[in-house]
Amino acid sequence: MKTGSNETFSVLKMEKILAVQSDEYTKLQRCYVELQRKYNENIASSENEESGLSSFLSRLSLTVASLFDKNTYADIYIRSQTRVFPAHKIVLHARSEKWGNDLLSNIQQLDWSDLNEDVVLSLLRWIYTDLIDLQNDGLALDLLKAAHRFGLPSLLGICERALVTSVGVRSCIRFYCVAEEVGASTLLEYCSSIISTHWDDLTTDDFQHMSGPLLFEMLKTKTKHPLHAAVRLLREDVVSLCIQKYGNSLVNTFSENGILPLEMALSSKNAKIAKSLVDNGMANINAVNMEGFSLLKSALKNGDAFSANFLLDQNCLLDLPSKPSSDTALHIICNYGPDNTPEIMEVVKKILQRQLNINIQNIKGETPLHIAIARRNVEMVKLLLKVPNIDINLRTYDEKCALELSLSMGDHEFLIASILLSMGARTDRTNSKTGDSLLQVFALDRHRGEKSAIFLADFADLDHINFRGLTALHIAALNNMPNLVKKLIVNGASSNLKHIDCGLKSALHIAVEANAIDALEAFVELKNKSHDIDFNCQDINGDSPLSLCLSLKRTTLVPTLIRGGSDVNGKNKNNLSPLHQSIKNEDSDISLFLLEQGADITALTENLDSALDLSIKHDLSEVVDALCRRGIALSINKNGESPLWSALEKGYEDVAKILVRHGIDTDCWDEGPEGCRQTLLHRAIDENKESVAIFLIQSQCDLDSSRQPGPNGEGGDEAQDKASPLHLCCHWGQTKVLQTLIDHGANVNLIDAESKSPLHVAIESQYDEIISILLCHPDIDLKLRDKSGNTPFATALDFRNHNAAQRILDRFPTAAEQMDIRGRNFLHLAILKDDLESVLFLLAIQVDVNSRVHDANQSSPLHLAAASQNEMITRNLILAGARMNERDAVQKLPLHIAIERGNLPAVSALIQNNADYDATDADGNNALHIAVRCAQFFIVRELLTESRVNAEATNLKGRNPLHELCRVVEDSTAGLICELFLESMPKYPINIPDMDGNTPLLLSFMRGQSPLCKILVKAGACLGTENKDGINIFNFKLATDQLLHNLLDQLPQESPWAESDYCQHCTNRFTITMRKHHCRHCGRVLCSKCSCNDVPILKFGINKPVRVCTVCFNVLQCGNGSLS
Amino acid sequence: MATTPRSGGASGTGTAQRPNGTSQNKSCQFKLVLLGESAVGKSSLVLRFVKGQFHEYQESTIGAAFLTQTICIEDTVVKFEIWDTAGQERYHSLAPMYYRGAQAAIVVYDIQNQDSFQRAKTWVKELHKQASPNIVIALAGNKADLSNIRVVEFDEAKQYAEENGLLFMETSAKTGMNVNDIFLAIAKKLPKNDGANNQGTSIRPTGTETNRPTNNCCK
Repeated sequence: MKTGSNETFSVLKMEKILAVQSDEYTKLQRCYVELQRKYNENIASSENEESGLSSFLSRLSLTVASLFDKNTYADIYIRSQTRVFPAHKIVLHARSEKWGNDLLSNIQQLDWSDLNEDVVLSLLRWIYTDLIDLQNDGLALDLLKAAHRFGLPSLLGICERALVTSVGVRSCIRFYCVAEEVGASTLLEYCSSIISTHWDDLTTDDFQHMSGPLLFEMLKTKTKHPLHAAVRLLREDVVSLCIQKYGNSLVNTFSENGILPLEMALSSKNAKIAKSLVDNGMANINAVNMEGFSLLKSALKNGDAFSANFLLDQNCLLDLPSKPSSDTALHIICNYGPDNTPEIMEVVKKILQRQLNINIQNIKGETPLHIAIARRNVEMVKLLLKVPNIDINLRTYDEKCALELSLSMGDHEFLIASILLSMGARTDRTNSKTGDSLLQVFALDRHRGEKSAIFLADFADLDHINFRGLTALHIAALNNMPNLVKKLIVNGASSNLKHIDCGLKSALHIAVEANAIDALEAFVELKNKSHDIDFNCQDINGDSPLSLCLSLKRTTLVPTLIRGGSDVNGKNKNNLSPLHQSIKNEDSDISLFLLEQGADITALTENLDSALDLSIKHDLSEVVDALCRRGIALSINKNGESPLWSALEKGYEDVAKILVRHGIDTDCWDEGPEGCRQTLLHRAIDENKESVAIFLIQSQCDLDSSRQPGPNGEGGDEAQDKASPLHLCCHWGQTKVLQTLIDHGANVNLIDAESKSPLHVAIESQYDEIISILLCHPDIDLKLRDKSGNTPFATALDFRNHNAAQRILDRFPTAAEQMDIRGRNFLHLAILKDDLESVLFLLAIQVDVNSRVHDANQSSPLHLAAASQNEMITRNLILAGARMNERDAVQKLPLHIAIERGNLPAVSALIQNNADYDATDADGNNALHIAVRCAQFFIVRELLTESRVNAEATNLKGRNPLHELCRVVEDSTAGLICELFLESMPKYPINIPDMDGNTPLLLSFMRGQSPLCKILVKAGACLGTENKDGINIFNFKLATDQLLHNLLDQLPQESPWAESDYCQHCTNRFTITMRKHHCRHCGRVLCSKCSCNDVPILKFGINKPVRVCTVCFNVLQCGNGSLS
Repeated sequence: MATTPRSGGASGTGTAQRPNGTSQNKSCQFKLVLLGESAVGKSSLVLRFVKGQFHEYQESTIGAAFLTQTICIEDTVVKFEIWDTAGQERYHSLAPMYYRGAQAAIVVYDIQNQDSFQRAKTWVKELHKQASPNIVIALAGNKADLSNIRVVEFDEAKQYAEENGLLFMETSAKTGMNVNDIFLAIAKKLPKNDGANNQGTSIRPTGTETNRPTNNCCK
């Protein structure tokens, strides 16, 4: 009879239910599904085999469905609440046995008016069509009941499965009841499991539909404490059942949470259950819970007036001990605060009627009164105060009395405090640790205590001193409580009371220390009302309130203290007046204020500093100005310093300007180095304080004075050097100061003790920037000469500052032409100093390179260069056009001077540039003469090899260079030069006599120059030559004959024959009869008698005997003997 | 200070000959000036040429330095009187004094320094304007051993030299590259007849009778 769609719907429902069922149920569902599937297969198979039968069954099913709510074939009617449905008995009978022929055969109508309209409609639709919509839980539940009522198990199953799918925590109880009612075991079990799982989440409302016995049974199975559960669910009927069954064994048992059933009932405010527990179950009203509290106290702690009243009505005990706080019931109630409910107050009254000791103290020493006051429970306070034996002076263990607590709680009207005081509350008790009285305690409370203290001031000892030596007035001052200050003073507190423990400080001192401006104002106000307040009392340190104020830099308090009568000139222990203190605090405003109040500007500190000194030191320009306007002296201070210097030295220009504006001496002549006298400007420059110096100059100090000797001539160089400030700036390189001096009109042409101008000094110190500044000055005098005769240009050359020299020339073109006192210009001087750079500079500016020294010698620059060791000076002068053949006053050329100085490089330079090497000096000597005479071997060589000097020229005495060599040159140098001559000029005439008839050999022999004689003899010098005086080497007497014999012995060849009219040995005149003969060895002309010896001269290759003189005979014989 | 080297002269122990003797060879001397910006290596070039030395750290020249060196070309002994000038700007006004009457000039630049090349061009212009008309000018690009970091291209300098009738070589005083060559090239280009030599104010007349053989002629 089931249609396909119905089967599909069933399968879906089963799938939903399957997810929440047990494994067994799941298996059952799988079998069912499988069965349905097989059934469908059978139907399909059946249709294939017997199409007629299948068709009939289908048509029958459809026919029945079509009869729903139709009158066709209707034979019975069903009445609902609002309408009547046509129905068919056969269809009803097919669904349920209860609608069998026995029931339906004789009736025409079924009355279903007790069912809901929707239930009726859904039920009939299902009966006819097998279709049903169970989305609504309520509908499903009602249908479940209807199914049970009418005996429709298939519908019952459908509804049960639908409900299982949708059951929840909130609905499980209701579903459980219905399931139990109709016997839906699957739903029942499922709901039961949910109830077990969420037992603690279920509430009274959830069980309200469950019957007492059923719930009792459930509680027995679900929990170990069914009585507790019944109480929690507020089911009085179940509670009774529990008591009946278990007696009182469960009544006084704790649950897992440590709660008693009575406690639970009371918490729920269920008087009936509580009463039942007490009366029938013998519940213990004095039980103590697991927290250690009695039920009464626990209720009170929770503010549960209902429970408290119930317990009190049952005459529970009130004095059970309570840990750990030791609070009584009254303590707990008093802790509630100011908002008491009438129920609570009723509880209080009941407690008080029991006449217990209300002064019991808890673990903190608090009585109920203390707590009530602290919690601002005014109603309770009043009630407690009415108890006859109340002790209002009990103190807590931290020494707080009821009065203190009442004042602390912010009772603006002080109502309770007043009551307490009227009842005899004490105000004279002090804190054991601090010694504070109650008045002081409130004075110390800077946030809320002032009003309380003011109130209390009318009742307390005003001058009580605590352990710190402070009175209430001290504390009021400390905490800046002006109203309390006034109250205390007006009530008679002593403002001048001081104690050693607080350093003899008065309340005023304390107020200053705490920067309590309002309190001070109060003191001033009271002072003006003729109260005895001393504004000048001193503490242990000797400070008045004002001096203490300034020491602590409480500047805002100063005007107040002054108005109160503080002495503006009072001194502290350091002898500092308030003005001194404020200046040291660098507080200009207060300092000015004090000055306006008549502070003594002449007072000195212990260190003898004046107010001006301090003001300058601390850079308080306004104060300095004020002091100056009041006529303070601007003289030097105790340290001998000008105030202006003090200010400038610290860089306080503003202060300095004020001092200047008030006429301070900007020079301030004072002691300087080694006792000399100097101005501030001198000092500033000397100490390199540039900004100070500039300021002084701008302030129109003395710009030009030099330092002076002391009164008794003291001072070293500084006192004597006459250096102006400009000189000092040039010396120390202070460019900015110098510029400032010039800008303000300093004299740039002042000279110092050395007659040096500032420009001289700047050039010597090599400060180019300063030099530039000075040279730009329109009044600069470039002709000034110092004591050395140097102009600035000369100084620039001396210091090789060619940039400066050039600039001076730009300004003063003729500067380079000046001469010194010895007639030398700058070029001369530069050459004399071998200063190539200066020479180059002068050449660059095109000085006259042929100017002569203006002295007796008339040297040209090239003459001077010839004596210089710097070859390049000579070469550069030549390139610049210096004339090389100029003669000085003694007719010398530069070449001559170079030769005389042995300056080979200069000689080379001159020769290379075609100097006239054949020019002669005043004695007719040419360059070679001079070189030979000076024994300058290298110069001789240079002349012989690099020039074509006339080597045979004769001077005015007829001497050629060789003559000069033999005549004057000493040692072996002469020999070297002679050899050089003979080497470079083999044919040089070595036998030419000079004007006296002397040959070179004779000249050298007469000086005993052995090496030179040997060279000449070897070269072929004539040995027999004699001069005009008849002197020859044979008759010239030397110390020994050794030289002559050596010359003869070493004679290499026959000497040229001499000529004479006399025998050169016996000096007899030759005649016709006395004939001339020549010695074949020495070449002398002799008579026959003097040359009578004949010997062979083997060294000459002469083997036969020849005529020789006696001297040669002796020499040759000795020589022959040696050989033989 | 620079001193005159004696390497070109006869030694003390050698044979000295007066210059008025019969000459087997011609000899002439020329004034040569080096110009260029400071630190391009003028003094180093001369030091390498005259003494064969190179100093890594050469001090700045003051004004000018004077050195001489003699070389042989064919049958002629050529003596260079070399003025090595200072490159600093403050000595610029002295430059005419050094190049006046010079027969030859070497204008030196640093191949790493473009400014020095520009400065060299300025010197060339000045020489053309103010020096002797027949002056022989050589352009020397020094520090050629640093060609891997060159700034002045060889071709650029060569073209400039050709356009202005200059000799041109890149040299290295450090390695000696082209140092002797540039002086030799100048010597070859200089006229060696007596007439040309007499044009200079610093030239000594050289007679054909001079007979001065030297031992260190071609060192």
